[in-house]
Amino acid sequence: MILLFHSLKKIFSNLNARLLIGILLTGVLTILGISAPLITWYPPLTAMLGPPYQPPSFQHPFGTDDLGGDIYTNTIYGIRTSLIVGALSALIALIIGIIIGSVAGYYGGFLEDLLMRITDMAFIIPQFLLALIIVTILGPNIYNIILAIGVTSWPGIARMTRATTLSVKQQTFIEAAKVLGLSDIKIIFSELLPNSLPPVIPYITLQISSNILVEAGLGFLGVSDPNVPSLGMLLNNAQQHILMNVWWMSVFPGVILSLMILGFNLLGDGLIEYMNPRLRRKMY
Amino acid sequence: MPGLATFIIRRIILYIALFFTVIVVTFLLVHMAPGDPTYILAGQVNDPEFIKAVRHRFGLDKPLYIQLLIYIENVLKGDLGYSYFRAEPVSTLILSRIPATFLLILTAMFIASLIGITLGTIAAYKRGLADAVISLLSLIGISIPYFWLGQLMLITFSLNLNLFPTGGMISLTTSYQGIYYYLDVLYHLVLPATTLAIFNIAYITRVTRGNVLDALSQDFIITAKAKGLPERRIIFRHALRNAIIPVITFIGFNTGTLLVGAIVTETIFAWPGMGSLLYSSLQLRDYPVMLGIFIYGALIVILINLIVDILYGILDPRIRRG
Amino acid sequence: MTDELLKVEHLKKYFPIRKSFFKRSSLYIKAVDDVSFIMRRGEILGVVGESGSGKTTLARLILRLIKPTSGTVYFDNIDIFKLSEKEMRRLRPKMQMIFQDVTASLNPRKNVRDILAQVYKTHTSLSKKEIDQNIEKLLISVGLTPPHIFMNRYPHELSGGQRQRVNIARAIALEPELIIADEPTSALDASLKRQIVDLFKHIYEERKGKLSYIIISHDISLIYSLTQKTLVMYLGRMVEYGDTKKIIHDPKHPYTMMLISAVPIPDPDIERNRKIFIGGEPMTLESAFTGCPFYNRCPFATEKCKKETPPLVRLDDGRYVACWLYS
Repeated sequence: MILLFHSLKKIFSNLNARLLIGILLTGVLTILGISAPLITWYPPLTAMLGPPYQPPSFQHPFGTDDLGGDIYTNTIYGIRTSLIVGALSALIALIIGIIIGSVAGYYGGFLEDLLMRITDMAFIIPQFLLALIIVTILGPNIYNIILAIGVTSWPGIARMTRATTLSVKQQTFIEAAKVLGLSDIKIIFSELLPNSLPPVIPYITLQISSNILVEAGLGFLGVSDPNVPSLGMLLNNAQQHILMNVWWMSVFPGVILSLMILGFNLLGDGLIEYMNPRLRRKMY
Repeated sequence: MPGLATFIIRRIILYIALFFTVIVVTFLLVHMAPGDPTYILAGQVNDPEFIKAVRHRFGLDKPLYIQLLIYIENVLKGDLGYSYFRAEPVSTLILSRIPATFLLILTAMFIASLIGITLGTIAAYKRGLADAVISLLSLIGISIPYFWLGQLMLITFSLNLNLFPTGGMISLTTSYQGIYYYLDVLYHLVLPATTLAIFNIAYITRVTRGNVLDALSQDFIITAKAKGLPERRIIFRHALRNAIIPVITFIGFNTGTLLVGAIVTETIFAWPGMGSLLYSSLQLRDYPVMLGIFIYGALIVILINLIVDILYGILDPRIRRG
Repeated sequence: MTDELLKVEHLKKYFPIRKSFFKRSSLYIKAVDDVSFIMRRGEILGVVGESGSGKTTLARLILRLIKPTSGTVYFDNIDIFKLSEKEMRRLRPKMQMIFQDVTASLNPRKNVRDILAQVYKTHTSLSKKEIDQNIEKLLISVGLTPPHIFMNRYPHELSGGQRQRVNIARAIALEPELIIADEPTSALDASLKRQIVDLFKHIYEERKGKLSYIIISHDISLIYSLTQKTLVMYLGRMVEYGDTKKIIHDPKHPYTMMLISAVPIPDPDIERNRKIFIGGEPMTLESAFTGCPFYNRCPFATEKCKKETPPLVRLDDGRYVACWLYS
């Protein structure tokens, strides 16, 4: 027990401030998102729960929208949507990026040239616009949104994975595995990936943060699943009624969205610093 | 400079390939859409004559690869279809909106580079408290979505303090002449440009800080210090100059983000550029305009990347080795 | 089982000097240039030369880690370059290598047990328990005792000497017929070096007649204490090949003389009397070049050496030398 306490204490004293705040922010928001049905007292996406355009009150802590819907309820459910879309689309990006980066880095030669040129192209293309077009044409539902953000956001992960793969590949233990008669597949999975992936991990959180931003941006432009409450959708609604000076429609979803993105950015920066203390000087 | 020429040619080949990929992806998306592609290419219009004309123009009764060739030919000719809602060819429509978008982007980037490079240099050089504050602010800056920041600005400075107009590019009530016209545009530009700039200030600050820190730890800086050059001069003559190249590259390689930032910012302030056009065509389901903005957007990003490549190749000879 | 374990015939490996993405240069670095020799079962061969002489490339060719430009390698009378990837993987347990970089050749994310267990998992169908028993025996035989302590250690928790012992354990686990050791002691200090040399001797004695070594080193004293035959390489070419004792006591090729005179000898009298000659820098060999590669550093060089490459000729005492002084 004391041993456990000591090791916990050791872990926490090693964490930097960024990482701690990042864990705290993302942790609290995740709990809020998961427990949405428990901490709200209205159904989401429901009109006429009160008079329209009401400023914050006890019944409606974040005020009401143009149809008398409860902004607090929709915001809390929106956290959930942001997290799910951010995480799942980052997972898609991760799978595509890791496959492309690892294959390019491990095999080299023509295959590497080809894959990295494709990555360059995917990097230059305005990813947000592409995701927007995909969702509008295929239909704005939550699955298409996740898919569209996922398939447009992998190039960063691919470059990162290729770079780490190249540096691990030069290590002699890869050649040693070949001498032992391991197959390429076996070498990639048991020797290469366990060493090339850990440096990529912090970038996953940064990817989640940027994908949450993209999802909210799509919602802000009106491209969102009408049956799923999301922060972008709330901000889009706020935009349509902004000249009525209903500040609460914009402020609350916006603050939550910013905190969520800040949390994942802090987490990512903090992890990079934690995993590579030599960078400490350069990081923030 | 044969090295530079090879480098540029390689990039141009990449960009041409990219442009064709964009066209093919657009084409495939239109055909992957549920329902008849005619409605995407023509807009949701119930005019049988018009539908027939569209089917004929895109060769929708011919095999897929011929349709693709027709589509590529049309795009290369600058023919991106027709906006039924606005009764104008898509290209004309988009081209008329580009200057406003560029004015917004360039103003924002000018402000952002100036402030971002200054703050980044100070943070890297002063360290301590100034660094901590600037770094924290820049982290917050990149975390605030610019579309929400724009709303906050609008609510605060236009609606409640009445300092700036709520939107548009010129005043509708009075028509100004000469210098006053430009001042009027500038007055309308303040809020959208600031919104777009803040996000980029944060980014450029981060990049500059990292690069100046790198440069400061390099041998030539230490040599300069050893020679007894005054510190301020070291920063501005040596460290900053070496840090600025990566900053330029950064700006170039983020043109996509910038363009998207401008598009979203325009929506908030009703700035009459490509963004406002995109927003209204999204609401009207005006697919030809949406696809056109995507293709033009890709083209703009490609051209800016090419310019940055050339600049970079001239500024930093090392790249040519690649 | 034939007596002949390894036959290398006219092995060449040229690396093109790549100038840019589009232009492929016609110039080559000849890393290994026309190397031929035969190794008998149970023999210990030393390969000596300065860094850059192609020793490691030769080792990687023999193990088919890279493909040769031309030439063949027969292992147990099998032409290894004609095998499919799958057949080659089945042959690999018989030919093992101990790499120069003691640390980088161990996967940092695996502990000693996992590193060694992988060998058995790949090539045998032993149960988990049997594998553990084998690993214990293996660790004892390389002097890592008590084995259960070392089994759970990660490479970064081991000293340089201990890491090298793990490398050796991995190489001998499947009882190979050939072990190639690339600079096995270069990373170790003098006392550890002695221990590793003794370990090599001990393993060799235990499986006498069934195990062969190729020891690659620039360290003449290591070659002298361990090997029976020596192959001297200079810029990818064989310059001298024969009995280790004859070559070290009586070097014939000027380059071998130079190498041996650079070895510190513990006897002060000999040390004081011998004349050290070292001169010039090794040139990089490009395809345009003809003549003896040692020409620009050799004190005996003549016009002929500049123009023509000396062939490898057999001397009366059975050794081979490539030098115009002897042909």
